[in-house]
Amino acid sequence: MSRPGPSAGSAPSPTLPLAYLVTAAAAFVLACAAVPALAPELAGHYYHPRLTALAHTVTLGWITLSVMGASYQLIPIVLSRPVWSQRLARWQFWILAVGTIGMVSHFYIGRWPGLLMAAVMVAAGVTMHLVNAALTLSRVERWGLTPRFIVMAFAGLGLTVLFGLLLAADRIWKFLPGSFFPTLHAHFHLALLGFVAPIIIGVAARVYPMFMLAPEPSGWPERVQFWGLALGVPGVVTGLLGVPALLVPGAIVVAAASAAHLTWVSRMARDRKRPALDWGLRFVLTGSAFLIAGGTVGLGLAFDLLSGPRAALAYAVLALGGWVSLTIVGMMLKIIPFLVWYRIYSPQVGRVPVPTLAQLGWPTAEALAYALLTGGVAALAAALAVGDARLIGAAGIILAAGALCFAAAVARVLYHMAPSGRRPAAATGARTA
Amino acid sequence: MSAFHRAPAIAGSSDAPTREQVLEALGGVLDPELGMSVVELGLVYGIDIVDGAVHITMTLTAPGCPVHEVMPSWIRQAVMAVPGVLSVDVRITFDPPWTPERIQQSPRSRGLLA
Repeated sequence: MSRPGPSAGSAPSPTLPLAYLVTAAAAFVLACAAVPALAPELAGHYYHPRLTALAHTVTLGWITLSVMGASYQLIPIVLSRPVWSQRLARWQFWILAVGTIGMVSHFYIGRWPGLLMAAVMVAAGVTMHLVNAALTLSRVERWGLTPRFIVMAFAGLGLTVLFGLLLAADRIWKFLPGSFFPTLHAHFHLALLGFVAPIIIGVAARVYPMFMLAPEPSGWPERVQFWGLALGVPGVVTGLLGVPALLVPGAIVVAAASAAHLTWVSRMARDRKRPALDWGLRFVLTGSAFLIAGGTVGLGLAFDLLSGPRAALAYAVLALGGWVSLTIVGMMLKIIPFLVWYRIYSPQVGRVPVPTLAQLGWPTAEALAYALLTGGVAALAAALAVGDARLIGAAGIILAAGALCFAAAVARVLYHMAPSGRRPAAATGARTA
Repeated sequence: MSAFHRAPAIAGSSDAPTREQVLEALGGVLDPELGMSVVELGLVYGIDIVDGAVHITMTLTAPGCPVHEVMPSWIRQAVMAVPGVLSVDVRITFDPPWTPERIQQSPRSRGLLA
């Protein structure tokens, strides 16, 4: 192994976010590979133990671990404050990883006491993250848009996990009032709109301009995004839980926030000074475009123009697979090369030739991943809407192939951490003094 | 973001270093993500040279950049290669903050060259 990279400024050791991000990428590959195998179940109703296992592989294993890993790298950059405790973050990783594996496996086999124990572990891991984030945020001097979105997201994460714990306990003791499915839908929307949406928007506000060399966004889209989520998410969740009159207004306000986000991303893409988009940025922009389809189907469900498990599954895939997952894949293709470069090559700058970030990756694998994942998500949403197991299986194979290409691209970058994987920049033209 | 160092070809070898030579050396410090130098990006705000001592005022594209602490050493290594430079002092500032508009401005329009 190489010697450790420099401890620069407020950034944590690169191995901390890498542990989260690499584990999350493995969960993504596993989830995509499971889609063809679960095609018969996906052609039926979404409330099936194996599909719930698949959903939590995506939401906890892929999305939550990605968000946490990225937040340990990006929060110090975005907030100019070091993480309160890296040791706590490392313990949290193991607790979350074991808890997530426990939850997914107990969902799969349908054992509720074991599920509850694993859910308690996940809740403990999330609590550790919230404590670490809160103590980091408490030292922020200037409360801009991004810190406010991060606070909103972590409040949403806490509520989502609390809700999930109650649902897990309810599988054993049956104490929750009301019908089961509205409660389940509220849990899903709290996670998607209360946790994932604000974290993506908040981090995007700082890193998209940095990556695209675009002016930082400002004006009405900023306010509509923030207040749209702050007011719309409680409306949607309480609307689903028992005040139906709030569901449609809440959905409209959330849709307005989504439209503002799209306006804002399009402006940055239009006004960017970076001439060529790399595959990471193409993933991010395509992921944003999936928000249009996901939002449209979501509004259709809120207005009762669409209903049933087919539309619900297509909606979940467009939102989680399209907007969220493609955005995370794009961000990972930016963050992981930087972390590896920083750990391996940054200490060598000025002494030996070092490659650029672009030279660390494998553009062919990234291009294939882009084509297969974007095509696969669109095909899977369509196949789920139709409800044909063969079509779902075919779309799942495309998706799984895309996930493997993504894994290959990430593995190529990580290979630089092994001495045999390093390459000097001399062969590619970059030199040092 | 951050920067790495490519080989600058320093022209001239007079005893007193010039701003042009320092700028040329800084042109070899690249952002590894963007492949553009700190000069092209407009990160350099000021260069003062007094008796071989070079004082550079610069910024980063974002506050809290993870290479905040290592950037000065990269700059120092590049500028120390200029003949006649005895010391290099690098000051990072975020006032004014960097904006992408600075990319298209030439060093002369930024006031770095007379």
